[in-house]
Amino acid sequence: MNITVLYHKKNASSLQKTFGTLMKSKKYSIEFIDRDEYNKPKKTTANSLYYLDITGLQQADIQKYIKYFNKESMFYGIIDYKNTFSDIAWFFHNNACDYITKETCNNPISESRIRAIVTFKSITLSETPQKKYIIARDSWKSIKPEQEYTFCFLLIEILDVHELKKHIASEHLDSKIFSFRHFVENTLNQLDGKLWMWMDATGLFIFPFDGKSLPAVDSAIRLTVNRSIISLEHTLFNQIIHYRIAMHIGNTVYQPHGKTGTIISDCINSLFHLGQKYTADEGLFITEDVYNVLNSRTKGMFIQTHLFEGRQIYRCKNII
Amino acid sequence: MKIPFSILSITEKALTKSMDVHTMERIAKSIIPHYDLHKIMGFSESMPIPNKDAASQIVHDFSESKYFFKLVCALMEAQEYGIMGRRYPIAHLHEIVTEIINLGFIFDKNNHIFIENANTRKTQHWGVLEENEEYIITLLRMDIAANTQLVRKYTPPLIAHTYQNIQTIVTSAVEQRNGRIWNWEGDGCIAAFILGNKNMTAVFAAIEILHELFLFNELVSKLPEAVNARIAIDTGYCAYKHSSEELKKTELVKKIMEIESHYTPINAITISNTIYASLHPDIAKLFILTRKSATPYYTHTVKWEDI
Repeated sequence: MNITVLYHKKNASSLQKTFGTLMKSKKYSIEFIDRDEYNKPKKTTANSLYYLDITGLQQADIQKYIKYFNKESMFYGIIDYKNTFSDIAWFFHNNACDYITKETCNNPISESRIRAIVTFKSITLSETPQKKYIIARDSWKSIKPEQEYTFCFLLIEILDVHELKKHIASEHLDSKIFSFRHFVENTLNQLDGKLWMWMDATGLFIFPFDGKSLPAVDSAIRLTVNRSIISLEHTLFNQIIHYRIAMHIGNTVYQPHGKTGTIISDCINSLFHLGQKYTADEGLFITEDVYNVLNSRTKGMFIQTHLFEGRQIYRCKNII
Repeated sequence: MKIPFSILSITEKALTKSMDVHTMERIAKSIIPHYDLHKIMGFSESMPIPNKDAASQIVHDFSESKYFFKLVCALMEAQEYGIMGRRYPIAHLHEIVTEIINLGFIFDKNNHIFIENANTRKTQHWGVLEENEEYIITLLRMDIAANTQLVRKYTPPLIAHTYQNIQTIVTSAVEQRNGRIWNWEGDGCIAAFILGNKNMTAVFAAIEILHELFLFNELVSKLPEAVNARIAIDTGYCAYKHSSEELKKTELVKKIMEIESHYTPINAITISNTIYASLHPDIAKLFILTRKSATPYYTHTVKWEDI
C-alpha cells in the first residue's frame, strides 16, 4: 500500500518518527512530500492513502484539498498537529479515513491502525507497493537505446575540488581524477555497472535493475569505508580524498555513453540534487527506493536521516 | 629451477662481450665469496683464461647453483651503477631480462631481485627466498580475539564456516598486495611482505582486514555475536624458513606475537616505531602512541562511528 504524507516543513522530522514503524514494513511504501511543493496531486489509485498535515492551513485551503480528494476519489486522513480544528466530525462527514492529533503523533502509527482504515473504507489492497519497474530481463544484453528501463543509479563525486585546484595544477589534477575514475569504473564494471556520464569530478554509473537485488550497494559501502586505502593505493592523489556517493532507483530512457545530452529525466535530476545539494558531508546516501530493496542486514548498515525532495534518505554508517 | 639453455647462452655472450675475465670473476665473487675460477677450471693463477671459456664456466656454475638470478641482477647493477667507479654496458642485457620475465618472473626494483609474477604462480617464497637466508621482511600477525570462548560456545560447523570466511578475507587482503600467508593456525595467521613499500602495504592490508571483518559481522556472519581481531605489524631481518615451527623460533616472529598479544587491543592494529616512521602522513595520523619506552608502539583502533 502506498501512503503519501503531505507534510508541513516544521513537522517533517516528527512525522518521520510517527510513520517510522510503517516505513520499516515491507507492506507499505511511505512517501513524504512537502505540502507547499505539492500543487498538483497525482491521481490516486485504489491502493493509496494520503495524509494531509493541516498545520498553518486556512479553513478555505483545507476545504480546497478536501474537495480535490473527494473529486478524485482519493482516500485521505488528516494530521492536526496543533489540535486546531474543533469540528473533527466534519472531516469524516467529508469522507476522511483517519484523524491524527498531536497526542497520536507522539507514538508511531501501527499497522493495525492502517488495517482498521482499510476495513473501514473497504480499500482494495495489493501486498506489494506499486512500483512501475521496467525490468530488462537479460540485463545489458536486452537494453536498447531510446527505450525506457529501470536502473539503479550511482552518483559519485569528489568533494573539495575547488580546494584541490588551488594546490594542484589542472593537468595534474585531471590525471589524478582520472586515476580515481579508472578505479571506480573497474570496480563497478564487475557488478554490471556502466559509466554513463563523467563531468569534472562527478561520475554517474547505471546498473540494470532486476527488481530484487542491488549488488552495487555492497560495492558502494566498500568504496565508502575503505576511502583512505583507496585514495592512497589506487589513485594518484597521494592524499586521502573525500567523496560522496548517492544512489537511487528510477526509470529513464537509455542512451549510450556519450549520447546522454538529450536525456530529460526527473530521477536523474533528483539524484544530482541528492548528490550535490543534500549535504556537504562525505559518505554514502541512498533514497528509500534503494533502501526498500535491501535485505534486513544491509538495511541495518543505514541510518535514517531527513527528507529530501519528498524522499526519505538514509546514510551508511561509517567505520572510523 | 632449471634455467633454459637460451638464457644461459645469451648470458654467456653478454659476459664475453662486455668485460674481461678479471671483472667476471669479481662479479662472481661478490655473490659467492669463495668462488675461484682458476681452481675450478684447473688453470694456475698465472695462466690467463680465455674470455669465452671463463664466461661459459661462470654461467654453467651459477645455473647449477641457486644464484643465477643474482648473477643477472649483478650485471644490471654493473651497467647501472658500475663496479669500482666504472660502468659496464652489458650486451644483450635487455634480451636476458625479457627471457626471465617470459619465464614468469618480475624484477622488483626496491629489492633488486627477480620474484615470481603473482599472475603466473604464487609460492610462499616468491620463487626467490632461500631457506635460512636473512631478508628484511615485514610481518603481519592477525589473531581472532576470544577464540576459545567462541569455539566452546558454538558448534564446530558454524565455527569452521565463520573462520573459513575470515581466512578468505585475510588471504585476499594479503595476496592482492603481493604478500604471502606464511602460517595459518585456526584462529590466526602470519603474513609476510617483502616487495615495494612493504610497511605501508602491510598496514593497508591490516586496515582492509579489519574493515572487511566489520562488514562480515554486519552482513554475512551467522554467529550471533561479532568476531573481533587483533593485528600487529613489525619489520626487520628474518631468516626464511619453510617450516612453520622453525619460523616461530625466529626473533621477528617472537616479537610480533608479543606485540599482538600484549600491546594490541581488540579490533586494533599495533605497529612498531620503524613501521610508523615509514607511513604516509595521512595514515600515520590514524595511529596514536600507546607505549612510551625505548621501543614505542603505535595503535589504530577501528570502530563504527557513534550514532
